[in-house]
Order: sequence, then structure tokens, then C-alpha cells
Amino acid sequence: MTDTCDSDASSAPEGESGVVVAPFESSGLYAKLFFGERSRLAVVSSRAPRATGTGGLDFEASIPAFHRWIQDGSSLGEDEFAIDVANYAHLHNGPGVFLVTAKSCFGLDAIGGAPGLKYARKRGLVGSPTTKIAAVLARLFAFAERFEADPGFVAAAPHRKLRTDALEFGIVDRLRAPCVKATFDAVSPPLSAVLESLTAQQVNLAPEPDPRRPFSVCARWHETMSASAESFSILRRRAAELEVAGASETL
Amino acid sequence: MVLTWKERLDKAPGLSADLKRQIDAFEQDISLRKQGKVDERLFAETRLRRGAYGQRYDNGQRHDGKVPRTLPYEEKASKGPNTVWDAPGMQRIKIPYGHMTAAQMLTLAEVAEDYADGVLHVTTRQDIQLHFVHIDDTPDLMRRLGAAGITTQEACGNTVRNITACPTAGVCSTEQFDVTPYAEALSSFLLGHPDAQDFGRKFKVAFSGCAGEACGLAYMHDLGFIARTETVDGVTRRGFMFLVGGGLGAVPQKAELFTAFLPEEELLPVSQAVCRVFARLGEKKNRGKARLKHLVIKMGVGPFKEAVMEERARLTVDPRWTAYLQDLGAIPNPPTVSQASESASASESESESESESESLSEFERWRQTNVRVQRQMGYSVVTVALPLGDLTADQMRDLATVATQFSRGEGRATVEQNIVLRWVKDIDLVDVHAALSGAGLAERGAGTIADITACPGTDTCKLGIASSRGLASELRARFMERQDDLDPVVASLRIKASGCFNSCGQHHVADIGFYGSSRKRGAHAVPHFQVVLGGQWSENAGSFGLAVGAVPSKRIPEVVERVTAAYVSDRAPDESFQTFVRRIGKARVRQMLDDLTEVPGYDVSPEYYSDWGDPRVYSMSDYGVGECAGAVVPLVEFGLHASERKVFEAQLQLDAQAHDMAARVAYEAMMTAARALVERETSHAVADDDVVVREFRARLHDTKRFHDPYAGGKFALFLFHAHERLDEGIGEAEAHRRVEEAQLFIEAAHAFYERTLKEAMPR
Repeated sequence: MTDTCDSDASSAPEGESGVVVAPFESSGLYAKLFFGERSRLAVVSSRAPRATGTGGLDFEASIPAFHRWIQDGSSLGEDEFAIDVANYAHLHNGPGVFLVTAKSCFGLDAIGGAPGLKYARKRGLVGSPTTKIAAVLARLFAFAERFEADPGFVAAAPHRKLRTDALEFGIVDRLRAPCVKATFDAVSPPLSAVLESLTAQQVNLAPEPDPRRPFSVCARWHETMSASAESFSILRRRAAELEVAGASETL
Repeated sequence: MVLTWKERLDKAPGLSADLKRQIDAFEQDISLRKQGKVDERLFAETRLRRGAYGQRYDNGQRHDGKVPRTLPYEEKASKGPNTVWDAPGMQRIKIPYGHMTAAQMLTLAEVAEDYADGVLHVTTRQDIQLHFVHIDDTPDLMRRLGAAGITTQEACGNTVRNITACPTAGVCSTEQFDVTPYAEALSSFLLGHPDAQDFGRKFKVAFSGCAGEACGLAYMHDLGFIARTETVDGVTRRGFMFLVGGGLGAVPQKAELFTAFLPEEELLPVSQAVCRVFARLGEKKNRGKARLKHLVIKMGVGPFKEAVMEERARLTVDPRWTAYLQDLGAIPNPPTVSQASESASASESESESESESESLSEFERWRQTNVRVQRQMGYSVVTVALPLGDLTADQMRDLATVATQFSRGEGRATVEQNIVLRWVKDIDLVDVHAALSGAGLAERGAGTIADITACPGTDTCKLGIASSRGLASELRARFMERQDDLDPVVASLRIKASGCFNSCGQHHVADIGFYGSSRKRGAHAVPHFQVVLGGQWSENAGSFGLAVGAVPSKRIPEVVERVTAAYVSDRAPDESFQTFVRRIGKARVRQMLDDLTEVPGYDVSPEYYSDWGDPRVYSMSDYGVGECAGAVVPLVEFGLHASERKVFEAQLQLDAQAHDMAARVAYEAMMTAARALVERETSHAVADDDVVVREFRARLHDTKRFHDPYAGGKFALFLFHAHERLDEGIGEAEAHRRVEEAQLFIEAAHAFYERTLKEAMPR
């Protein structure tokens, strides 16, 4: 499995010539925060996971928290509502457990061997590239905020803490956004701009090098805030502002 | 040339013109349905026939464990009765006899990520299913699959479903011969065949290479074929023991013997004849009685056979019946002597190094359960055990790489929800194990009690009553933890779980089977599983198990413990589990499980009131209406709808100033409608246009049945006129007139059809 954070811009696959990419015609955008190691002192006991390749997460421990999320009816975003919780805890390096909404998923996963917290949009994303990127990030940070505030979620990652110096951004839509250099070139400018505006840091982007996989990039910057509900709340608000600001951009 | 994604998809090499046309038509149906121009019942059956199935909560209702909630979808046209357009659905993908090339595996992985949740699910019919798919995405999904040589056509609905066969066909030491080319030929032949379109229910076919093993499960199919050879006057010929009318479902039925030997050249024509008899005489109104098994029971197998053979005698010869037999000698991959000797030395080197490392002992344990010697010396079949039949897109890609490198670029899905790699050289087994381990695919225990089969159940199925996957996951985890300590007679048992009585998990043919049910305790519902013991997996699903009672879901692991412990302690030497269960009897088993059926009050033990893997307080309010059978939409309605689509196409041709083409398509539109009405009269497919016109004239026009109450017979004349002048050149005005006449003819066809329905209603 590849770790996109370790690649550099030149590792983007060239792809076929004559292929027109249109990454922001897609609604299949996602963003993922990685889990890093938590201090040993903070480790609490947990059940043994039922699959290999969980990245140290106890996916099933998160299921009640996701169901509570549905029950309390709290906002997932203006245009979304929850449908169900899907459980793939038994899969190696898999999608783990996620909340399915009408247009997206909020999940804990270990895809690519990298455990993380993910918001994946599937449909109904409109607006400029900035708006779309910011909208996805705003929902990811809202999820992270909820995660940090809910002990039920934290119990699913007892050995882990969310990282605030990197994230993965991707577009799962090979027709419009194949995993090639042309997509990377099209996505990098607005993505860098949004992330640099959010973090006030210079952001380094590294593309997924395997052309068979969905397009993604790993974004890295210097850590300036620790993982907490408050930190993610700040990031969520900034992303929401960018989402609104992006609406005035030319599509 | 610079191409957009849409253009690339349209020009995808490998997508046949016919399949492209079908998918384009389906996409147009989606568009028409959104505009309310297609009846929801008709659209539902149309999408089912393309494998686009409903999924739990698609009626817009869900119980969250506290209260039932209406999911606030935007109001749009429905996908079918009580089915919300935007609700996620399931896409079933046909994989005939489970065979996939490495390239197809890569495509399947891609579409699983792009349109579903990134997980591929192997079904008990060797299909692949994707979940959480939006209906709007299905045409592109189908095009991409089509370009890889995969179809979803007739994956659901009242059609011939995926044809299954032993995954080890061609490499199995017990088979009479390789059934692969026969399964392939029948799959292709019946796909879209006009004689297989007017069924009242689904129709399932299976092939087995031998009588003794389980793989083909021939006895539980509508048509079951078991390979046989017959030698007459020193000439050996191939054929099949042919079984009809088997099925599982709520009340399982073992198939009846149609003939002990059906010669290979009769495989396709007799199957076609069965389809025609089933379409003509099978039940259409009462779906509970509409499977072929009900027709066989109703008629008796003797009269049924007579009807089939009479139909067979009437069939027009089709060259496809035997064309494929000419290629049977060309089955690739005969093993070579050098490969065999290579592998012999490999086995030696493996045993030398076995004691050298801990990882090799893990390899050896894996080999004991997941590797089976092939008939061809030096080769093995490797079973990749998939937990709950699932694998991720990344795993599928890794598996494609392993298949390319080690198993001649192919794999086969199994009815036990695994994937097998065949033609793996023994010398490569260590490397294959290492590669699979890297992908998280080297789980051992294939074909053991830990390798549990389960249908989707309440996870995603509208009909699910209890969580079959949740239960299977729990049992699997418990057995995996102690699989090295299991008594061998217990390890060899099979467990299968269905979420309801419909048997998609094939619980009737398991040693230990379960199907979901519900019981009321005070104000609450409690998830239960009915326990079914002693089904026979071997001998092609030779017999069905005994239902011994319902037990709360949370106590099922104890059921398994007690039953298996009793088997270990009380069985006679060499006594099978089936014999053991029948010997001790239902009363003793019930007594053994009696205390487990008790349900404490909700206040005492709330855990009984939720299901495995789902902490919500259990409720039956999510139980929906299944689409397993689809609505029985008369074939004539598909034809009339297709004629409307065609006349719309003719309009587009007119707009494009393509007058000849417009006139031609308008004629085809009329012919499509006329054919639909004629086939309704004759109860069989009519291919030839001349015959359609002749029959239409004799049955509907000359009898004045088609006459409009006011306009008389003029609409039929439009058809006759167009048919007579088909080859003549046509001008702009004539083309316009032809399209308008076609429109009127189709309206008249609809009106006629509705009149006949009214006439048929009881006064």
C-alpha cells in the first residue's frame, strides 16, 4: 500500500495523452484526517479488533456513537440527513464503519493502510472548486469536532490521536478525475489556496502515485494547533467562510 | 485526438453495440421516469432486469431505535412502488459461473469505488453486488462494466439469473468433465433470449461436474445439470443428469429427475423448451406460486416433461444449440510435463523449509484449509476466504495482481462467497500465500465452520428480519479465535445464515442453518433466528435440514456450542452430522436448546432487544416490500414501452433531417408494438416481421378486434402500408407522415391492450 504523504509532485502518473480531465465537474470529493500515535500514558484497554489492517482502531466501538448521531438528529450539513450506519469492521485496510447520508459518508477507515477520519461526498456538490473543496473540509472538521467531543468515538481510537499537520484530499471519479498528472495539476492550485488560507501555513502536496487507485493528494503543513474539539471548530468555521467566499468565483 | 470522459466512455472498446444500445435505452428510461412518462411499476421491473435493485430504507422510512423517522428526501419520481428515487440502491453484477479475468477484477474494483462504498460483495450465486449506488449512476457503471465484458442484464427481476457452476470445474478430480463451456454457452444463449422474458418469477440454473460434491447444488435449482458420460457401442458421449423444479425459499423443494441422461447437444434446446413452457403455463398472478417448482408440482414431472418435449419438437433449429460444442477441444491450459516435474521438486523444497520459520507454519495451516490439489499434477486451487463475502477495492486489485502472476489471470467466485485461484503451481504456493497475506487475504479456514455464508440481512436488504451478517461476524470471530483447537468433526461443519425465511443464505442446506425471525416480548420485539439442523451440503444439496425452533439472536452462539458439543460427545463412529441429527431427533434437540429460548424482560437484559452489530432497540418497522421477484409486468407492456422509446428516436431523426432513418425507426416502432401484441396472443416469441404482420392481420385486424370504436381499422393499415413499402426511398413529407402514423398506431396499440384488460376483468 502506498503512503501518498511520502511521494512528491513528480510521482503523479503521466496517464494517457489526449485525455481531458474535469475534476471539479465531479461531486465525488473526499477529505480525510489521519490518526497518529497517542502518548502511551493515554492508552486505555480495548477489545482486539476483528480484522487485520485496522490501523489500531476498534471500528465497532464507534457504532453506538454513529447511531446516537442519527438519533439526536444533529446537523450534518444543510443539505444532508443520515440514513444508516454501515459496518465493514471485518475488512483489512477497509472502509471501517461509516454513517451513510443521502449524499455522503462520514467514517472511520483504514483504507490504504492509513487509519483516519473521513468525509466523502458522493452527490450534490455545486459551485467553484474553492467552494467544493471548502465545503468538504468544513464537513470533515465538523466531524472531527464531534469526534473529539464524544467519548464514544474516542473509544474507537484509544491508541490514536488525530493529526493536525496533514490530510488527504481525493476525488473518487475516474472518468472526470483519473489518477494522472493532469488531474493533479488541475486540483493543486485551488486545494493549496484553500489549505493555506485555513492553516496560514505553506502546504506541500504529494500525489497518489498508483494510477489504478482513485486520485488523491496528501497535504502537509507545519503543525500549529493540537487536536481538540476547539481546534476543529475553528477550522470548520474558517472552511465554511471559504465555502461562502468561493461562491463568487467564476466556475 | 482530445476526448472528454463522456466521449471516452461512449467509444469504450469492448462495449458491444447491442449492450450499448440497451444501456442507452435504460438511461432514456431513467430520464422518462423522472419526467413521469413511464409507469413506476414498469420502470421498477426494467431496472431490476438491469440488476439495479432496491435497498433497505429506500421507502424513505427508518426506525432509529427510538422512533420511526421519515427520511426527508426531496420529492421526485419514484424508482418503483414505494421506492424513493434518491435512496441508495444495490447493483447486482452477473458473473457467469463466477469467472472473472484479472482485467475484469480491476474494473469491478474501480466501479465499486466510483459508484458504491468501495466494497465488493460476493453473493451465494457467484455474482458481485455493490451497495449504496445511486440510480442515476447506473448507466455509466454499466457501460464501464460492459467495456470489460461484464453485464448486469437480467441480474434481478423475473429472468434467468446468474448461471452457477462448480468453481473448480475443469480442475476437479471428481468431475466427469469440465462443465465450464456448457455453463458459458447456456448463459450466453438464454441472456436476453425472447423465450426467457415472460416469466412470473426468477429462474435459476446450476451446473455440477459430479454427483457427490456440493459445489453445483443442482438439486436446489429450477434447472440442475450434473455431468455424466454414457458409453453406447463403444462410443462415449457427454451429457447431463437433468433435474427440474428445485428451489429453496420459505418451503424448499428438491428438484425432480427430468432425465438421467440429456445428451450435450440437447442442453440448449431442451432448456429453451422449458423456458417456453414456464412462460406459457407458469403462474403469473400469485408470486408465491410462480416459481418453476410450483408448475412441476402442479403438473407432475411426467406431464411437465411431456409438455417440454412437445415444445422441443416445435422449436426451429438454432445453430447456437451446438456451435459451441465444436470448440470444446480448445479448452486452454493443459498442464505440461515440465511444469509437473517442476512442482514436484517444489513440494520437496517446501517441506525442507517448513520447519525453518514460524511464518511457514502459518503457511502450512493456511494450506491445510485453503489449498486443494488439482486433478492436474503439480497444480493447486487456492481459496481466498472472504469474511462475509466482502473484499475492498484495494484487495480486489491486489487479487488481480496475484491472479495475473500465479493463476493464469483469472479467479472464480464461489457460492460460499469466496474466490478461488486455479492453476496455481505448487511451487508458487508460498509466494501466493505471502502475496495474499500482504493484501489481508490469507485468512485460513476456508470451507470450515468459521467460513460462514450469510445473505445481506438487515444490513441492506428490505426483507431482512434479523442481522444475518451480524450473527455470522460474531460466530466467525469466535471460531477464528480457537480454530486450531476445534475438533476436526466440528471444524468440517458448515454454517449458513439468512436474514429471513427466503433462504438467500442457503440455510436449508447447511449442517447448521439459521434464518431470521422476530418474537414479541411485552411491548418489544426481539430478534430471533430459527435453527435449522442437518441440511446436506454435499451431493449437490442432497437434502434439507430440520427446523427445530426459534432462539433469541443473542443466544445463537450458545446454540452452536451446545449442538457441536453434543455431536462430538454423542456421535457414533463415522456418523455424519445429518445422521446424528436425525438419530437423536427433533425432540431431543429442542430439549437441549429449550432454556435458550427464554427471553428476560427488557429491564433485566436489554441486550436481547438489539441485534448483532446494531445497538438500536430492535424493531420490525423497517421491514419492507421485497423486489426479489419484481412486480410481474406483462411482457406486452415492455414491448409497448419500447415502441414509444423508438418513436421518440424517430422524432429525433426527423429533427436531424435524417428522413430515411426516421421512417425506418418509425416502422420499427410500429413493429415493436405489433410484435408485443402478437406475442401476447401466441404466447411465444415471433422474430420474423412478415410473420408478425401476418399474425397481426389474421388475429387482430381481420377479426376487427384492433379496430378503434370511431376510426375503425385505419391504424392497422399504417403498419401494413409501412411494411409493404419498407424498401422504397422516402421523402421528407413521407417521413413526417410515417412518424405521425407510428405515433397513432402505438396509441391504438395501447388502447387495444387496455380494452382487452377491461374485457378480461370479472363483471
